[in-house]
Amino acid sequence: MEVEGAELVESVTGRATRVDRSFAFIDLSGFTRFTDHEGDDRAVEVLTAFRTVVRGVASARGVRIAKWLGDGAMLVGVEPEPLLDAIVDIEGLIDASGSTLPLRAGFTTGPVILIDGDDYIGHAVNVAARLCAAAEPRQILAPADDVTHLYTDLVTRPAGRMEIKGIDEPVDVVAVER
Amino acid sequence: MLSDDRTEWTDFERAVAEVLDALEPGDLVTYGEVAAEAGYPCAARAVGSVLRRSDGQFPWWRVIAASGKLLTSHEVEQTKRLRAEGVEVRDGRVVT
Repeated sequence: MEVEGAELVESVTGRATRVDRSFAFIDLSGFTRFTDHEGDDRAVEVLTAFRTVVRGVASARGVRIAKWLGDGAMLVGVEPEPLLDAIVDIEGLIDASGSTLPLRAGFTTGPVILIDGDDYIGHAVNVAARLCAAAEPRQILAPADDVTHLYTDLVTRPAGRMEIKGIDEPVDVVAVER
Repeated sequence: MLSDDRTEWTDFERAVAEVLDALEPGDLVTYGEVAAEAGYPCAARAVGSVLRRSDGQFPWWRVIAASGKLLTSHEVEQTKRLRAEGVEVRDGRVVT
């Protein structure tokens, strides 16, 4: 079926809503190298264990797994606190499992456009992904302004100012810890 | 972020804003106290959400955790602002 431009815009905006959400991108550091050295079967074992941990924690903390990304995942929370707690839990459980592949993560919170109830567009999503890519193993990075006034026992430590593609000014970044 | 136009805010956001706007230099309140005074006891976490989305519209540094702990994400700036208002701060906490 051919859809005219105006009709397409109307159909898309009709299903789009601006919402505040929190986002986390998480992945296993060194997974590609691990796969090269250990082979596909071991890689699948590690991924299966990783996904089991993520599913369990996400369910317990009430956050949603928006999508799996190979050796990582995108998580979404309506509130920032449960999502941050979830990432810290996941990191701890993966370490406790004896995995040689530690977690790293990027976290943000902010307004985005929700499309069709399950897809998100906005700076907050892009920044979380970029912070995850910039994080060291076992590090959870977040913009300082996004983790202020949180109702949790988590603490933050300054992690410098970071240039992030798509953001005009450098961003003050912190590492989130328990 | 909260809109600059407060008529677009929810009743809760406006009630919290009224409490925060009334804070004077040297005042210290907890999130729970703001929530209770706004008429929404038990909504302490939601007060944090309003502050986080307010983009500096309120004197955020006068709101602290019930434990007296400052914001670890903005500890240096909060310490500086509170001390300028005569509040004693030591090791990331308000001294009472």
